[in-house]
Amino acid sequence: MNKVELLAPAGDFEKLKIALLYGADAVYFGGQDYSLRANAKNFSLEEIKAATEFAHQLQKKVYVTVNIVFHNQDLEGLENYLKKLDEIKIDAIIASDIVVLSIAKKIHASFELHLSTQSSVLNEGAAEFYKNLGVTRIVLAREASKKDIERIKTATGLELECFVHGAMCTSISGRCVLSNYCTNRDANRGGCAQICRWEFDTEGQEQPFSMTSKDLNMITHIKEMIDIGVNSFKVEGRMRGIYYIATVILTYRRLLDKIFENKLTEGEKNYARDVLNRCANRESTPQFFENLPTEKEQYFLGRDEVSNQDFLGLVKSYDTEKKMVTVEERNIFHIGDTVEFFGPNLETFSMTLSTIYDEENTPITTANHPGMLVKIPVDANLQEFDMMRIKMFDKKNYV
Amino acid sequence: MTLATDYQSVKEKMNPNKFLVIVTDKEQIKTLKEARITNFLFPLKDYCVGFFHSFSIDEIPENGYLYINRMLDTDSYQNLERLFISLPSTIKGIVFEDLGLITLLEKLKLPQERILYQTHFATNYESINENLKFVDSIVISTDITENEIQEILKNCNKPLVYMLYGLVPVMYSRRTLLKNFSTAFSLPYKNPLTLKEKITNNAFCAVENEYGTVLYNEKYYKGTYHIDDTKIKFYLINPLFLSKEEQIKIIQSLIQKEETRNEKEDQGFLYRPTIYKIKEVPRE
Repeated sequence: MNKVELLAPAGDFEKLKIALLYGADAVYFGGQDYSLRANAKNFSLEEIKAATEFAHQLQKKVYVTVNIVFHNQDLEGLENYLKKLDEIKIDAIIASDIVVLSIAKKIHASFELHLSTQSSVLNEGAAEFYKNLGVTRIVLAREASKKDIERIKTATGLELECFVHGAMCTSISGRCVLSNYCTNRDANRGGCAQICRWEFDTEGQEQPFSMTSKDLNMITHIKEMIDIGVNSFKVEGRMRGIYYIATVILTYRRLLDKIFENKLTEGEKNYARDVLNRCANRESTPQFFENLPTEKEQYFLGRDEVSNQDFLGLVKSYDTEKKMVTVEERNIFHIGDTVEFFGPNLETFSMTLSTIYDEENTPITTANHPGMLVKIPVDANLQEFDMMRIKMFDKKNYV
Repeated sequence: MTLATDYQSVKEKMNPNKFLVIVTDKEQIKTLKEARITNFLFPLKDYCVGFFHSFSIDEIPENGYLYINRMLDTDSYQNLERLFISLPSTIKGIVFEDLGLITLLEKLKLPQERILYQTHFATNYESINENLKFVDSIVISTDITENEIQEILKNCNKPLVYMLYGLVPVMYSRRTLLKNFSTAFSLPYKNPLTLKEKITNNAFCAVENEYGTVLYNEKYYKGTYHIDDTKIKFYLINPLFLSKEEQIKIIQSLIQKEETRNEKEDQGFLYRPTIYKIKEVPRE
C-alpha cells in the first residue's frame, strides 16, 4: 500500500498546532483574503510563515486555500499574494478559480496546485482538463462515488484528495447562492450563511421542508479508499474547536496506522466510530460513497444536534516529580467524575477524580470556570496539549 | 459619464436573432419562431437538471443548441461520449456546465460551438478570458452587479452570453430533496414545490428529477439593457413555467427594451452587490 496523507483543517494557529501534534501529515487553512471561510480567524502572511516553519520542522506540509470565486475587484493584489506565498515556501495552494491557476503558472510558483472541491470534479474529463492546467492534485467533489474515484485515478494518475469526515453541503459545492439571496452574503466568497440548514414553509404542508444533510463519516470505508488510490484523507472543519480536531485527527491517525500495520480489528473500527460520533454534534454517514443518499442521510424534524461538553480540560504541563498535571478547564468537572486522558503519545486511560487543587494548591470540589487552571494528581507521563475528557466508552468492551 | 449612462442613450430595439431561448416545451417553438426567435437551447435528456421537459438528440431540430447542465459522474460521462460519437453536425452548439466536456469535445474533435455556462462562476474577466481559450463563449453569472458585467464585457476577448430574462438557478443538489421530503413524512410527492424560507421570506421553486434538485429564485430575473451589445453573442432567456402567451409578451417587451418590471420579476444583484465578509456588513 502507498503511504497516504491525513489532512486536517486549521482555523487558527492553535488548531494547526493541535492538528499536527495529534497526527495530521498536513494542514490546510486560509489567509485573510481569498479564502472560503471568510469568518474563520484565518492567517496573516506572518502567521502563514510561522505556520509553515512550524509544520516543516515536523516534516509536515501546509496548504493554503485561495478558493473564492473572484469578482473583478478581488483580482487586485492576487498576484502579489501568490508571490508572497511562494516566498514563504508553502507546499500547495488549494484553488478553484482558473485565474488563480493561471497566475500561479505565470509567476512560476514552486508550490503545488491543488484543485478545490469547489470545482466539483466528478469525472475523468474534468480531472484531465485541470491536469493540463498544471494541477497535481484534485480534491474531488463530495458527491464522488467509489466507482468515480477509482476511474478518475486510473484515467489520470493524479493525486486524489477526498473528504472523509465533517459537514456536508446539501448542494454540489459552488453551485449554491442561497446565502446571497437570503442574506446578501456571498457564498462563493466565504460568506455562506448555511441557509440549507434553515427551515422552509411549503404550501399546504404542515411539516417544514428541510434539506439539511447529516455529516460525512468514512471510518468504515478507509481501507477501500486506500485500495482505490486515494492519496489524501481530508477532515472538514476550519471553524471547529481544538477538542474536535484532536479527537477526529487522532482517531483517523490510529486507524490509518493500524491499517498499514495490518492490525485493524472490527472492534477498533467500532470504537473509532463511536468516539467520532460522540464528539460530533450531528449524526454522520458515508453519504455518496456507495449509494445516492436518501432521506436517511438528511435531517427533518427533531434534528439531533447537541452541544458537546465532553472536553473537560487541556493539559498545560506535567510535574513528573510531584506527578501532578496542570489542566486548563474547558467544561465543568467535579471530584468523583470518571475522566479520560488522551493525547498523541498516550494510550488513552481513565481515572476517577479524587482530588482537585486550584492554582494556589487549595483543594476544591469543582472546576467550574472556563479557563481556570487546576492541578490534579495523575500517575502518568502526560504532556502539554494532551486532553482530558469525560469517560466515553470502555475500550475493552470493543475487543 | 458612466458606462451605464452611455448605454442608456442607446434606443435601438433588441435583435431577436440574438436571443437564445431555453426550450421548456416543444410546443413553444412554433410560437417563438413567429416572434422571430431563431436560436433555441434544448435541455438534453438524461444530462439536465431543473427542467420537466428534455429532448433526445433525435428530437433536436437543425441549428438547435444542446444544453447539458449536470455535473457528470463517470458513468454519465462515458455514456455521453458514446452518444456524442454520432452527434449530428446539424446541432449548432453545446452549452454546458461541466468542464469535463471540454476534454470530451476535444477528444472527439466535434465542430460544434462551445458555450460554457457555469452558473455562478463567470464573475470576473480574467477567469472568463482564461476559459475562453477553450470555448467560444461563456454565460456571465447573474450573481454580479451591472457595473461588474460592464467591466467584464469591456475586457473580454470574445462575445459573451448574458442572461436577459428568466428563472435563475440558485442551488443545485445531487440529492432528490423533494422525494426525500415526501418519503420522510409519507406525504404526496410534489414536483415542483415552492419553498419559502421562514426568516427572510425568500421563496424558491424546487424542480427535481432523478439526477438532482434545482432551486430557482421564485422571481424572474429581468436583466439590464445597459450593456455593450457588440460584446454579446446571445441574450439567454429561461422561460420555465411561463405560458406561450406570457413568453411572447415578454419577448416583445424585451425587444422594445421596456424597463418596467412586475411583481413576478426582479433584478437579482444588478444593483445590490453581495457582501464578501461579514465585517463589511454596515452596522445600523
